[in-house]
Amino acid sequence: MINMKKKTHGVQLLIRAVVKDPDGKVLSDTGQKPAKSLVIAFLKFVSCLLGEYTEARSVSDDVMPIYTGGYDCSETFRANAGVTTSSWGIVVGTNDGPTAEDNENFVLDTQLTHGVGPGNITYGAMVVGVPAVVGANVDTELIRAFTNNTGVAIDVKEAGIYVFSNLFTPRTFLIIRDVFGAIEVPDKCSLAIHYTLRTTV
Amino acid sequence: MIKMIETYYRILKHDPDGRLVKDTGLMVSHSYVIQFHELMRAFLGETDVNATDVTGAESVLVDLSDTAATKGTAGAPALDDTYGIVVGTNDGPTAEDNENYKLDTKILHSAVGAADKLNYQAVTFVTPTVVGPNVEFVISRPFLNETGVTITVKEIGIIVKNTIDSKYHLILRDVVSDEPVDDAETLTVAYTLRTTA
Repeated sequence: MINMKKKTHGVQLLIRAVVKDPDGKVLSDTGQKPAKSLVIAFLKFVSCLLGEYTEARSVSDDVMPIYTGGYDCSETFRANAGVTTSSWGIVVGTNDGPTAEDNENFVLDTQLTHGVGPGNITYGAMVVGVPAVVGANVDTELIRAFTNNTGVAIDVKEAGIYVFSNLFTPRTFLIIRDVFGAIEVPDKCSLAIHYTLRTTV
Repeated sequence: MIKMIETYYRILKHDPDGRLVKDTGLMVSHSYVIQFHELMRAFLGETDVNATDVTGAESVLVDLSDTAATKGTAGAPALDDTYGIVVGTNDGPTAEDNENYKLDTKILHSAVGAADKLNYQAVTFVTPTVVGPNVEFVISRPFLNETGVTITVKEIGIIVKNTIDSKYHLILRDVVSDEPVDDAETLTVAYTLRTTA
């Protein structure tokens, strides 16, 4: 039994996908929608951070430390990937499997990697915003742009965030994964994925 | 379908014989404060971050050159009221706000029953676990009243300890219904963080 004296709060996670043509004209915009699938690795990181050492299943399908106290903070739980890096940060895929969202997802089903050929998309740099009070909320926004230079349209059907922990053995971990209806990204067009962490008193 | 990190608190009271005398059940927590976001930003954005600490000063929240063990720690041991789950009387009172940086009136620790103080026990953690359709992570802490009189708790929260210089930052605060803790009773506060795919 849960007593809800006020409207539900916690940490909301929102996702928005915007497709633009080469001239910057918006072709589609989902608007902010509730994201799903903060997966178990996210809470494992929080539990490590707050006080308990633990491990999580990495993208490589092995169980490794996601956070270790003896390493510098700069080596842990990074999402700020640069341009061309498709191994961490916000990532997108085509979910060809398909694989449904699940608490124990540890990898995208079919990730698009960086490049200009089949199965590729061009990865821009991650932007991790500064938390700000926005009306009644506090928002932290994470954004990444992708450009389709493959010559054919791509249907993006999944997105997520991989974080990089450069510990004993460098590993990446999936912390969020969303499956959605196909978002068509025509050739030469761009897709921007926005994740917003929101709290509200 | 739930699409967020749901956060709940639960307050339990036990009498000196260990009998449960009060259990609020899971109550919806409101009031993650901005320092929580700053902590996430420091890691996700790989950047040094300062934030308002419990004294009201801007201090180092994360210095990337420090070891991770010095950051965001809530695992306070027994007797330590400076971080971990903390409780207070909200005498001000101060309303919940996105920019709260401390409890209004924190109850301090005493192991000898000093007036207006509680005996802080160690913070404990339950590793994130799949529970039905959810993943849950639980943090809890007991507080023992040895003062001889009733103490009424009206606010709770989590303070994390940061940097090699031990700076303390509030990340979560809830103003709660009055919870009178009689002499010799133990109050336990448990926070549950829950996600659902």
